[in-house]
Amino acid sequence: MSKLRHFWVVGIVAVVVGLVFYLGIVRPPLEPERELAPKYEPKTRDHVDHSPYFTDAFATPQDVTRACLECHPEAATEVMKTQHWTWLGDEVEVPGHPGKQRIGKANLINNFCIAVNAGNYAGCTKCHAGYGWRDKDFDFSRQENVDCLVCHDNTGNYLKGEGGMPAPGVDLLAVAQGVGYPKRENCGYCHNYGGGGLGVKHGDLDNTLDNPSENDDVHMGREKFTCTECHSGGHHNVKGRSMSVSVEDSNNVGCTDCHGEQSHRDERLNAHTKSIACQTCHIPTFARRVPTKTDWDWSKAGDPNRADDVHHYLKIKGEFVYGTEIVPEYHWFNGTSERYLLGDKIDPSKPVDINNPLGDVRDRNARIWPFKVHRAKQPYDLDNKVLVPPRTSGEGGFWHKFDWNEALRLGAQDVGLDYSGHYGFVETIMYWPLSHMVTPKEQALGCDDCHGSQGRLNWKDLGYDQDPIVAGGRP
Amino acid sequence: MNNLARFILIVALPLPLLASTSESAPGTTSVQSVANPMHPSFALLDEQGHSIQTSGAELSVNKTCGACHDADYINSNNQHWVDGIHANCLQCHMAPGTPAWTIDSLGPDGLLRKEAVQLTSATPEQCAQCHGLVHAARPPLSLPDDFSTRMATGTDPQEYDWTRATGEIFSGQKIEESYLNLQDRDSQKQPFDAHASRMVSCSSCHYSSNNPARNDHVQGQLSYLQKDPRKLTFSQYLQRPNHKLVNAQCTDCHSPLAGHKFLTQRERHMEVLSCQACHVPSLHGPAAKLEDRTLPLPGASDIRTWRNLEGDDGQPISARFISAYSPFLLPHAEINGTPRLSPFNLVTRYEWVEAGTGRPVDIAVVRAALLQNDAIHPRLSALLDTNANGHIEPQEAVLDTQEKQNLVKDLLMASGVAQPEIRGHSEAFKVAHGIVGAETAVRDCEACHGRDSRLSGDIDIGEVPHAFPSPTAGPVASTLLGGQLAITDGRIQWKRADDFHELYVFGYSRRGWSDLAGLVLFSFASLFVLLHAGRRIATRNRRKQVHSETVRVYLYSTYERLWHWLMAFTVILLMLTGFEVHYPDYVTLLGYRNAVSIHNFVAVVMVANAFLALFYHLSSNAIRQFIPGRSRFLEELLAQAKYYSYGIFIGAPHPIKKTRQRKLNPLQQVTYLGLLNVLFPLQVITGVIIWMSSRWPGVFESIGGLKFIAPVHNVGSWMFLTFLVIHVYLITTGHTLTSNLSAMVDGYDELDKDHDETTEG
Repeated sequence: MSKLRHFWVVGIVAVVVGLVFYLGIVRPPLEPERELAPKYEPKTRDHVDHSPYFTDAFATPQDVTRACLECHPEAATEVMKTQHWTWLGDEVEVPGHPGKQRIGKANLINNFCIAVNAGNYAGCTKCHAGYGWRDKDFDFSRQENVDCLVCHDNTGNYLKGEGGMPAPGVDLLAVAQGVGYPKRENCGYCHNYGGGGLGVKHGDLDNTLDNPSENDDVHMGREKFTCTECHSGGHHNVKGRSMSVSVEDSNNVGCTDCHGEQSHRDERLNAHTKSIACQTCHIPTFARRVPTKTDWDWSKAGDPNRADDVHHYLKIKGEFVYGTEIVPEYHWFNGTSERYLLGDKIDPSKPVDINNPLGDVRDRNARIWPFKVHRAKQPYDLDNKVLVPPRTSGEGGFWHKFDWNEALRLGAQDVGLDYSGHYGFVETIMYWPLSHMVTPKEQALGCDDCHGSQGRLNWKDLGYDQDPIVAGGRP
Repeated sequence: MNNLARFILIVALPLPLLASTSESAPGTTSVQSVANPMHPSFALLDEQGHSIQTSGAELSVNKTCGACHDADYINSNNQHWVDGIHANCLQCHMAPGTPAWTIDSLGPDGLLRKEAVQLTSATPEQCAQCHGLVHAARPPLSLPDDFSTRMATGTDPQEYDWTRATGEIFSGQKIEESYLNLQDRDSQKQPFDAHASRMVSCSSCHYSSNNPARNDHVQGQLSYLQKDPRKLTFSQYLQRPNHKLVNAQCTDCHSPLAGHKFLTQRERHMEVLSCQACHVPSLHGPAAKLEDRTLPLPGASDIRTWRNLEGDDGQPISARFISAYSPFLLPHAEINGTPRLSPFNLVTRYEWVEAGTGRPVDIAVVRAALLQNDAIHPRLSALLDTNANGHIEPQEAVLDTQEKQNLVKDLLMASGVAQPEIRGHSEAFKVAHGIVGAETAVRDCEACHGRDSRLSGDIDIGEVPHAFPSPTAGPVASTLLGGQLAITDGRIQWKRADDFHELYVFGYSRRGWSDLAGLVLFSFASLFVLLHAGRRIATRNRRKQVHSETVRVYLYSTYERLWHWLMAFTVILLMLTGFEVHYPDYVTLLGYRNAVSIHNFVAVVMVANAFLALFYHLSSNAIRQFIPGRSRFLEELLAQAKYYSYGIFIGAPHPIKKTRQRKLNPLQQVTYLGLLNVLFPLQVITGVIIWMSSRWPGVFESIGGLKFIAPVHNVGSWMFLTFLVIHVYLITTGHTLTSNLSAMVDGYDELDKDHDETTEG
């Protein structure tokens, strides 16, 4: 009997437990639950202080790499598998082209500075994660030529110059002593300056991201992300992809890596996610602080009578248009794209798509994405009807002699194209899907930003009969 | 050519306003036309039905549109026309941004060129011409310069009355993006109206009642029909569209019970609250409190007192600081007769009225009477300009003496108005727009459930201006429930009744008698206990210490102790939470919503416990403990009463010895019989009725409704509290102060040995 003396306490405890269960679990919550990204916790990894390891001055940057490899023997082999080193992707089928091939920065044409392999290596490879790529004969198998410092310098005192070599005057010992995990500035050193200047290329990457406010980028501003929180991946295999140099979608970063697709409180918004990319509403404008280049007319280059004005005209590059707070253009995009490859025939009577996104209203995998669109006028061979990459920064290139014929002849020779000797300029278009500079949710687009008479989407061009707010979404 | 010029002028009249609203902001792509591409071309006709191209006469919109549409039917079935606003077809149906029609718009066949036919169903821009702040364009919303000074006249209906009456603004723009000079604007991330931001336009809810495309609103339907499939054909409808526009209800589109899961008593809330009560927590436009239209001088404001503006009348309206205000929740009988709390603003308006007919004198007529050669009548000017500086300042532009009033009256009579007199009425304007979504809607229970809440307090409706008569309640205000218009010392107020008619709001409504009865009962019991205890303490030394031999007896079984303590625990929790629900201003332990949830949960546990205990007592025959014995019952009852009132102080022995067979004395038996058979069922039944008020409102109302049941439940809880006090006190009257308590804790009590306590088990 004595065991049951205080049995009644058990009863009360049971009621309390039941009550707590009811209040906490059974009862509908006051605020509807939302599926949010798991609460972000910054990965505060302390990097070992490397200053004690390095005491003697380095004669060459390759000596620094050798020193790194003594303790990190796999690092160079890992980096050498990545596109940061090869500037070429894995073998892939390029739509409209037979077989499989490796494409990348090293062998593609764009409508900014046009092509690396037209004898322009030394100028372009300033952003190569290696040392000494000055011509097509660069030896990609030499481990000591991997540039560890451009990604791991935490001192801010490392600069690269011609051929990817450290700029003159860099104190390699001090930089090596101050290495650490990549900071925003490390990635930004190249990616914020693509196209030859701050913010030129992407429109959603510039040095605002070094220290952004939450309105500039909610992830990096409010949540204090670094680039590598999303662009993660061990063994130096950094996740992420750019449609400018890639036609497929594997090993990419996506919003739904962290966020659920149904994470809006409003059912109607959740219904949008099958046709609308997150970025479409959450990146209402791009180049919000730093201007980005939207038009580039190479045909005006070389005019000795015009004064240089960095945002409007440069004699070596031609005429530009920059813009800020630009409303993106919207296109269907299923993650893959077409790609203009060297030697492809063009129709000069209309603008040439260099990398147009694939997908349309009938493609279940396609969503409407926001794009920065860059339009250019660039040289082509009038007779052969192909785009020809000019030699620009290289020896005898256009930037030195301002002779298009010579520059195009040299460039064609470098990339193995026939050049007829007759050139013209054709309009070309590049598409840059936007994913950075995501705004806080309060600034996301609302219904009337896209729908209705003043909406920014052109439904007919997107393949709808009429505004889906009236006629319903795609079946 | 004169005629042509006039024609251009007439057609172009409504257009400048439209053109200004359709400018696209930088950064937006092209504006897509809203015009109906199927509308056929037509000839422009004059009053005689001839083409104006040949006749050169003035355009007649009625004749032109009337060639196909039944203009007479439309105009006579048009709420605007019924209200005296003779808007023509084009004012509402010409697409925004359409270039004015000129003679060049006509083709060689005499018909309008296809590109000039830009007609549409009414867009928000068109409604905005007359209906306050409706803003569909991109540029930030700001107050128009003439927002406070423009007054509707018979010939110029353009006005902002709708916004000025309540502060409602219909716009999809986020409040923080507007140019309103608004307190805390930057923190207002929500749009002015959630519907506007979601592309629900004016005509989505205010549409033609015989439009066959809309079958969600069928008037005069039969009870067994949800919809009537017999409709006009489209051609019939296009010929005779009924322009008495529908005022769609929220529930025509929304199913409120599909959401709102967080609410306890959901159905009850939906029944007694309009949706706007929670979904319009505050309004952001300037709202009037007192308007004076008796002296409509050009450029002068008729609004004397604003409800939510800082600064004085001399300042431009856009420079004055707006603070958002919460509209007043007032009970009002809906069309189907059920009283329901809806948000209102109350405004007093003074104007000239023809005493015979009671009709207001048109502002244009009053204004014309005040002016002579476009200047203020010199006699009036001389009277008004009290500081004689040659200007009429805003504070001078008021008829604050009998002399001034008489002069205006004379001027009015001179211009042909019969028996003009100043009348005022205080009117209630219901808030229907300015809706916010779930994120910003009112969610906290305390907003209404509390004495000092949105339901309490008298509402100021301005001061009776000097030398003006007292206002009367306007047509809507006189149908409000639960209060009345009162004028005290010249201050006009809506005095709320202590309780809303027919509505009982927990935490707000109190029934004086139930609170008083409960409190009196409780106080008497407490007083009795205190006096009795005091006497016991005072006499403790005089009592002879009787040390009769005792024996430890197992008195209460495990289950008896379990059900007792469960009952005690649940009752205490119920009283705590119940008092928080009923008196949220005094008891704030758990939060209102938690208190309600816990109360409901614990009540279920308590009832289950009670039934299990009843089953135990019946099946084990322990119930006889509670049944008074027939012989000597009255005698023993008196003996026990005498013991408590006398014997206990002198150390007399308990008159009725406690035994295993007889655990309760007659007084206890009577008390528990009453407690368990009367009070307990009363509380359970009234509690269940309150709980089911949501589910079966009909049954519920037929037995008196909340206003009757809730006070009964309240009195019951006071009685439980009273019992608890006496019960806790009387358990100290055992052998020792704590022997009864410890018996209920471990089951063993000390009983006198001289009783036959030999067998156990």
